[in-house]
Parts: sequence; structure tokens; C-alpha cells
Amino acid sequence: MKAKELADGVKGKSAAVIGCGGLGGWTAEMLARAALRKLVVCDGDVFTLSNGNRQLYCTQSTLNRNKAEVAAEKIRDIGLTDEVKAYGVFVTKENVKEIVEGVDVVFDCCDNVDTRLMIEEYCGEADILLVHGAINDVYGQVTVVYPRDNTLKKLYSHGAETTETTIACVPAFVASLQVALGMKALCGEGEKSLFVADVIDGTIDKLGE
Amino acid sequence: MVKVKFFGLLRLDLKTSEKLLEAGSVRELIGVLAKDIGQEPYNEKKLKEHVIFVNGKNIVDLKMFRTKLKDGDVVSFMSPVSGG
Repeated sequence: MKAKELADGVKGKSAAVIGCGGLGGWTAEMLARAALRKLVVCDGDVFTLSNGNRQLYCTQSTLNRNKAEVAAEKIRDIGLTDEVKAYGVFVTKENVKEIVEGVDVVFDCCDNVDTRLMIEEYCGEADILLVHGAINDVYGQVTVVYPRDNTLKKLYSHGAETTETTIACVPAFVASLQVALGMKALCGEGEKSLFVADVIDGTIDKLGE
Repeated sequence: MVKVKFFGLLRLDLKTSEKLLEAGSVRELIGVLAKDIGQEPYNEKKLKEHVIFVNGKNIVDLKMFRTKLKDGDVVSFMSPVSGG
């Protein structure tokens, strides 16, 4: 697909970004420039000094401020999204419906397996497209989850690997892939492969269907 | 020979992206691979905790560790991550 087809294809669509830290900040920024009708951002956390090495919206002026509130301000300032809504809370089983209700796609940019599985289950029940992204060290994974495919349940059957830290180019790279696949899926051209990106090797491999 | 491909932390730790090994099933391959690697934490138990694809299909959708392998098959070991 060409860029114009993708840009035209997402006009009038709405999305929710769950988690506005490393991946979520970059994802929100790129979606803000895709000129969607509505963009919802959600995160209960505040920016701290340790976020500065990789999180786009963490600056001296945003320290100690809620990540979703800051992201919403940036998106409004970009000025291409008709409606921007911020939820300064962590997504839970109790509030997920209110947060993602009515959106065409949810971007999973969370930082823990339990929340990711809960979101997958809800999106399955509510028939909402889910675009999953996750990072660790110098690599990351992205996949489009179609309702009731339980892709993440299979993926995380033994938990997840973690090392100490990452660097800014990793969430930026993986978020780019996440937004690209999300836009493609919104245009009806989605695929179910698991994309594994190794930022330092400069490789993206497709596993699965 | 089976082509074994590594992704994620396993690839970083082994400092290689693939190996060619001989095995008739995923279970046998895990034993051969653990011996070939010969370093902790990559024993058989740890390798079994990876997401394993045979020719692009998750073994969860095949016969798990009983999935048969033949010459030319591609087996991918991937450790899922959850940072955001």
C-alpha cells in the first residue's frame, strides 16, 4: 500500500493508546499526525527522571506530570485530531470499557503481561481490533490481534523476558512498525504475523501466519 | 538438517541468529540445542519456555513438542517481551 492510501484510509477513524511511556509516546505522536477523528490516551503513571532516556514526552517541564495528560496536550498542539481524550488512570477490568468504547482500534503499549491479556480479552468480547507492541533491550515485537484470536494468550503462555533497560531508538522503531501495521489493518489489509524487530541488527522477521 | 533461528534475548546471548542441527522432532531438537549451546540458563526447561514456530506455525497449533521435523524445516525460538 502507498502512503496516500494509508493516510486516506484512516481518515474518520478513532484509536486508543493504552500506555503512554516509551512505546505509547511515540505511537501517540505518529497517530496524532495521521489526522484521526478521535484519539484516546490512557496512563496512570507520571514522568520521572529515569524515563528521560527513551520516552518522547518526558522532558524537564513534564516531570511528575501524568503521562496521558501530557500526551493529550501534545496531540492537541499538533492540531490534526478532531477529538482528544485523556484518561490519567491505569486501565483495569473495571474501566476498560469506558476507555476504549467506540474506537476502531486499540494500541497496546502497556508494560506488563497481565494488563495486555486483560485488554486482549476485552477487545475480543467487544469486537475491537488490537495492535500489540512490546519492547525489551534492543528488540521488540508487534502483531495485529483480531477479536478472539487469543494471540497474546498463546504468546505469553510462559511469561516474558526482561533485561535492565532499553534506548530511545528501540521504542521509536517498534512504535513505527506498530502504527504502520495498525494503519494497514484499519484499511482492511491487516495480517496476523508476529513481527520481531532487532533494532541493532536492523532486521524485521515475520513469524507465524 | 533443520535450520534453527533465534530471536530476542536468546539471539543476543548466543551472539548468533541461526544454527543448523539434526533432529526428528521439536523435543529432540530442544535436547540437541541445549547440548549445543552448553551454557546457562539455556537448558531444556528454559528452551521449552520459548515460543517455538515450525515453518511459521506456532507449535501450540501443531503437536507441541511432539511435532515432527524433517530436513529443510525452519524452527524459530523466540522469547516474548512485555516492556512498553
